Amino acid sequence: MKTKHLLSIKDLSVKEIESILNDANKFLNKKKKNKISKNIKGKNIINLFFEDSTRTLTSFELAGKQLGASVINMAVATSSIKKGESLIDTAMTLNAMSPDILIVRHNMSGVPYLLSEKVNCSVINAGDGSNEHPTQALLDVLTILRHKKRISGLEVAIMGDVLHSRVARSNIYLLNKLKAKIRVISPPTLLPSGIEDMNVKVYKNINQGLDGVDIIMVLRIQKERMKGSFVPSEKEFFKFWGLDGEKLNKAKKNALVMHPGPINRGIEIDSDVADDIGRSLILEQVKLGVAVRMSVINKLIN
Amino acid sequence: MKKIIFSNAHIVDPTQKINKLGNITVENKKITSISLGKLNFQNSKDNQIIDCKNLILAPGFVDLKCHLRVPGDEHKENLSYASEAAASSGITSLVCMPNTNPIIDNVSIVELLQRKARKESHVKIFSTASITKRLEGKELSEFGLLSEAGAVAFTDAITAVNNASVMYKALKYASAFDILLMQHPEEKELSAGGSMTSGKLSTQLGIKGIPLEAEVIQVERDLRLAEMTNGKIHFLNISTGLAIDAIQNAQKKGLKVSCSTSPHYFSLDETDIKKWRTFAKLSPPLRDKKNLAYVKRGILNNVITCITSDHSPHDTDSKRLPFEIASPGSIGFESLLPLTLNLIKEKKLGFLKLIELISTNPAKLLNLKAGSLKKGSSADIVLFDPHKKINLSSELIKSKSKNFPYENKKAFGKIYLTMVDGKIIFRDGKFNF
Repeated sequence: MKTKHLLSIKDLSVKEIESILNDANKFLNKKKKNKISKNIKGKNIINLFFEDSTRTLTSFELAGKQLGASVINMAVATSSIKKGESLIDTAMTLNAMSPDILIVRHNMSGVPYLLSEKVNCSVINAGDGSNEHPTQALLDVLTILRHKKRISGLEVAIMGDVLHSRVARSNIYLLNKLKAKIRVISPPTLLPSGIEDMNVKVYKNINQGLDGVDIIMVLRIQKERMKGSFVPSEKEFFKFWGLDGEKLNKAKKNALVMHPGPINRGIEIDSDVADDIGRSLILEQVKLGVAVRMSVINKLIN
Repeated sequence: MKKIIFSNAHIVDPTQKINKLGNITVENKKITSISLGKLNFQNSKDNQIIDCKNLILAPGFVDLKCHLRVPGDEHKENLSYASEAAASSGITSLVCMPNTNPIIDNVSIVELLQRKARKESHVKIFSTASITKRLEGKELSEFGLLSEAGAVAFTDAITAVNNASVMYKALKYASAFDILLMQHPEEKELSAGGSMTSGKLSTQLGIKGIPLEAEVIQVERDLRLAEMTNGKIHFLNISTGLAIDAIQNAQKKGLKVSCSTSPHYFSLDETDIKKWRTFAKLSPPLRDKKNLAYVKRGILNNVITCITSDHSPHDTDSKRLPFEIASPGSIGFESLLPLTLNLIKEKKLGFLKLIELISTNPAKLLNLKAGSLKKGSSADIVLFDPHKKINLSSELIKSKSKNFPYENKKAFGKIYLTMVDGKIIFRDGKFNF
């Protein structure tokens, strides 16, 4: 990779993306795995998570450990970072211990970038505010590729709370680079301003938005946003913007459903859809996540 | 005391419509004579002649809006640093904001500031006071007592008075004392939690945006209230075409409304934030290129009549943070003249307009005895070369804090001499206190 860090999908070339995904595929195959795994024994990875996370943290931890690196998890109390007071101090302290990779999650946009300017090691963005979550987008694309064999020309709908979603932003950048046709479907109050200039088609009506799509990416919505601040109620959200079997019928017959997790059943997605093994890729996404993260760590460490 | 004679100066004084070669005599803190044309003066034991070599001699600049951080935030700025920075920038009068700690909302803090200013500052410092107690937007401050104590205007600094009833009463009550209310126009709820202008860029950086309309909504409401009360209002840091249009219409209707901006809003735009650069986080936020052009036009059309430094020093710890929680604001004294000169040159506005914008008009607005070279005025004088090229960057900064968003920005204007009350306090790069 050209860059020392993985902070944003925007920094990656199509070639680099393809190479990350190719390697991830090889990590899934036990026989090929050892061929590409570079000398990672004795390397140190620190998971620096300023925001609660179970799946991403576990996924990065497993990825590091499967490669043979030693992985340390640091969950920094959320209360002290609310003021941001010790952010750079924390990073500088860890930097003094000379880790090889710092994997950072933070509830504010731009923090991994800020830290990457201060530390000597590589930084991986594991999700920052409403900005980006690059490894999630990479694993999403890998999941689609394994089923559809291509990205170019696919109709992909991203639906739900686009305003606050870093997953949506990283996917919009990545899918655009790979020439998918992107739609976003969202209540008007959860659409970020200027999104229509980001090469996506905007739909406020879910039935029109899902008409003829190949892939549906459902986003997670936080419950407190459905008490009148952005959407009047969970019930209303589910009725008009939640994915159920009936709405899914608008999509292509072989359309597949994705979700970055954790899912809110009966709010953004109906259980029948989420659990439909013929349509739902949700658990496969989790599985491929480890492989994609192995691939990224493997590339950055060498 | 010796007479000081400035000879062969390019005198620019809008109050006398002078924009030509001349000479000025200063005696006992005052300007005692002004003559035009080239004259020969002789040094003597009574005279000190300063040959100005055709540099511009103008009334010292009057800065309508700056943050001096005194009392309470002396780790960001103090009066002696601020006064050196101002002196070296040709600014002889500073009007400081009341959002200090404690807040300037009572007579004793105004007096404290004046006492400190007499001891520590070499330029004139005028205090504003808050419109509402504790800047809470609920109860009016003591306008009468505060203005008697020396508060020259009233403002809630970088928050707007959002409650319409409170603002209505403030405008009404202010008329008893003929004082000016200055509002930072930003509708609180629409801008809550935002830290840059909303649009594609804020979406791409994952930063909550503030819509342009937050400014004009506040302006339009206040214009209605000013009309209802026949009140006098000034809007600070105007940054959008929408607000400029609204204010222009109100001025045409005859309302007592004026507005100012700072050079950042015609020198930088939102793309200067780049990757979450907190030095480019300002309040109001930087706008797009279109609005930057509207601000220039607002100055051209005389809707915006004053340019302030909006000097807002912040220490490293307030800026070295994630963008959304970093403090907003930029250093401003050192860039006031150069950036305004850039605009004057670009739009060919002439030097009279320049001095109006940064000296005469702000002084008039607040009835300060400044901004003029008329015989009998205080000898607050600046001598500068408007054609000398400079590079704006943080090395120029003399303030205690260095939060300056410009790096190697080309500009014009070098200060050679600054005089306050007949005393030369800065000359050829050196302070003389």
